[in-house]
Amino acid sequence: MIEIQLERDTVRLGETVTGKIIWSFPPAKFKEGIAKLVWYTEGRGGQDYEYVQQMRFDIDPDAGQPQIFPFAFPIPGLAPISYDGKLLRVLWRVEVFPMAMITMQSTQQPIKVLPR
Amino acid sequence: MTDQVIKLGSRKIERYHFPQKHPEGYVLVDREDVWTRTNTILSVIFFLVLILAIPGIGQAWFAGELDLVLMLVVLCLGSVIGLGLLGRHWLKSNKLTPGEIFMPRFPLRFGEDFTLRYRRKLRHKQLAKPGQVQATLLAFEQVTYSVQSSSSSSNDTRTETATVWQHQFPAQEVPAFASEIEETYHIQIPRQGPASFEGQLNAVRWQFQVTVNLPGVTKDASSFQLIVIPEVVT
Repeated sequence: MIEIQLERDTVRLGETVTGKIIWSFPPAKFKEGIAKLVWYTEGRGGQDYEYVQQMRFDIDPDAGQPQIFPFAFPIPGLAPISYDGKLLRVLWRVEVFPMAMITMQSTQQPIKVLPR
Repeated sequence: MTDQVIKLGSRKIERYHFPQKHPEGYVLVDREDVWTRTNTILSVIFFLVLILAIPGIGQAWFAGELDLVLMLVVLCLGSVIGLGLLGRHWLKSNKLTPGEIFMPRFPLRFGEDFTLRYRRKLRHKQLAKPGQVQATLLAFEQVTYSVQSSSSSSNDTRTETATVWQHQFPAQEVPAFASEIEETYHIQIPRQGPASFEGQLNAVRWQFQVTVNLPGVTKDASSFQLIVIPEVVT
């Protein structure tokens, strides 16, 4: 199981999204995980998706459970902000998933990005 | 800021939307109003195609090569349409200089409050009758999506737009005997946005649109894309 804990779920452009990933899979199951800060669109149009920052982290097979991985993702000053319009929404989230041979469903935590 | 790349989404803002720095401020020119070298080259190509294809139709007809006749006729029709469109554009650009706007700042921010100046000159004559200028500042969303084509197995691409903010300025009169149009507009970008956004399939754009109606000369519209970054004026 993966849990994402954010220090704040609302940040401004130019600030940093900080928090921690609490990883409770059995150690032998996965050796590596990946965390991404992404923005994406929803609405009438096709989806745009872009990761802004990412971090890989190694799972220690000898560590006790659960393992904790802190992260800090700076948001660029000219990134898109969270937006809820008529045909289009721009949304942000932190997503974490195990590095595996098959694509695993990610664990996600939404954040709101405000202008500077 | 104009030397930097502005990326407000997954696509860079096209450089032709960047204004030129000028002693009077930042100047944006409506590229649709400009007669370019490409237009001249295309006109020459279409003209040469016509000159060469018309005698060829006669020769092919008498030689009984009906497939070649059909191909040359289609080529001639395409060239005539191309020349017609370019001719209309040339006539318009020959009557008025390209529309220009002057802004004190670039890019714009949320809560920005400034005076924008619009200018367009008549190239050859003065106005015989009074004209009118109408300007609108608007923000709109543009989204692109695919739908299954009803006639084939392929997908059709559709685009939809929706205006999310709009301010229409009162119409201004251009007096008779004027040889240029020059109007100023008080612009207020709302403090809550929206910001310009450019994705691959979705966009939010700000546009300043001006329609000029000059009786006896022309009726034409100019549009200028403004860049509003997500930063609040303090």
